[in-house]
Amino acid sequence: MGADQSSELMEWLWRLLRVVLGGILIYASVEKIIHPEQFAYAILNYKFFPAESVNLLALVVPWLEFTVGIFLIAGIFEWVSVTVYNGLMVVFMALIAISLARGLNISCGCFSLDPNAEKINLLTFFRDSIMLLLGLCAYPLLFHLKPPPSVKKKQQ
Amino acid sequence: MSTMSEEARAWVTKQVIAFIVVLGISTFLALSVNMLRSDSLPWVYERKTLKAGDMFPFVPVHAPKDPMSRNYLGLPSDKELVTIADVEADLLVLEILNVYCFSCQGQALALNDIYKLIEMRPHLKGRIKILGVAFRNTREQVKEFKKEYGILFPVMPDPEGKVEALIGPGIHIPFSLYIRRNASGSMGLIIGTHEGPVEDRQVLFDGLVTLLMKEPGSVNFDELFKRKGESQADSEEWPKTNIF
Repeated sequence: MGADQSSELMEWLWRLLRVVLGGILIYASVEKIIHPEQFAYAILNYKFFPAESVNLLALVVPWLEFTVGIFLIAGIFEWVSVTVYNGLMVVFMALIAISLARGLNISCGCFSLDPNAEKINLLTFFRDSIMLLLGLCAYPLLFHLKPPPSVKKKQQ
Repeated sequence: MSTMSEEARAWVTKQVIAFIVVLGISTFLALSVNMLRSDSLPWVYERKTLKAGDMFPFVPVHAPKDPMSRNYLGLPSDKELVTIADVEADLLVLEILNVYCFSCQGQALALNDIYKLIEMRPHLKGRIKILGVAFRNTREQVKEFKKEYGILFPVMPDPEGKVEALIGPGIHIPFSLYIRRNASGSMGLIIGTHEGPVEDRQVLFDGLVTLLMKEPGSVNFDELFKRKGESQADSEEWPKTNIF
């Protein structure tokens, strides 16, 4: 496969990955944007953040997910969008891990605010790790397609 | 070399600015949309007593076991845990009581008569609903109470007194919360609270119909449940039970 064909394939892979990552974030954000009051209680259940910050987090985090999701799909600020995506995944995974270690029997609140939704377990952690892995796969593609200046110089 | 590090520096600066822009847009959208909501921040409180304008906490509780209560409240049959958002009503009267509290017994009887009046009226049935929470009473105590007094509306036992954490400190029972849907259709907006019994059936019924028909915020709540000709001093002379 020539260099052009390889680049074209990577472009397509990158477009597909952007849509997948952006779609995950937008899907996760919609219910939380509509019902921030319920999301606030989902955050409170983690017993991690002080009550004063819970309300602000419940307000801003869903919109951050939505905005980054749109930017990913549209291909805007790609490096930052991917990094914020991965940062969010790391934070969510850390919260799940801490809650599992503390024996909290709570719902994730990641994609559904229904209290009857499945409680967090190792599968939840595994699911989020898959999503993080997808996000990390973006970096090799970005390094190839839109490399930072120091990398570009080396390639030249 | 210096050109490369300038390029790299410029690139990093661009990414930092992009990050600030992303955060800024998200925060702007969040705050703007929040201003359009009728039930804006805060939603989670630190030991604050609930009042008009607050959203009732979305804390999941076990749904009533008996099918009649579940059907009356419109609760989904497949859900074990429910929140206030699951109640199907335009106006919910949430009455905090204790089955051994004298004033609460009077209030329950009054609400029972109101329940019957509402159920007989097609334009109100299904729209105004009544739910009791028996603070620090067991299921058996609630069952005996309902049987003895012929109470027809659902009363949920709260043997561990968890409702205190939801309502807040310093409440005297019987304590009524009047809950409606907010502008986005979520059930849970508290439009008023009332401490003490309202045993005048006419006043209670008229008050509930007013709360149902009028826009939240347009009702003088202090006057709503006062008996005709009653002064403020008269309305406060009831044996207060401070179990909280």
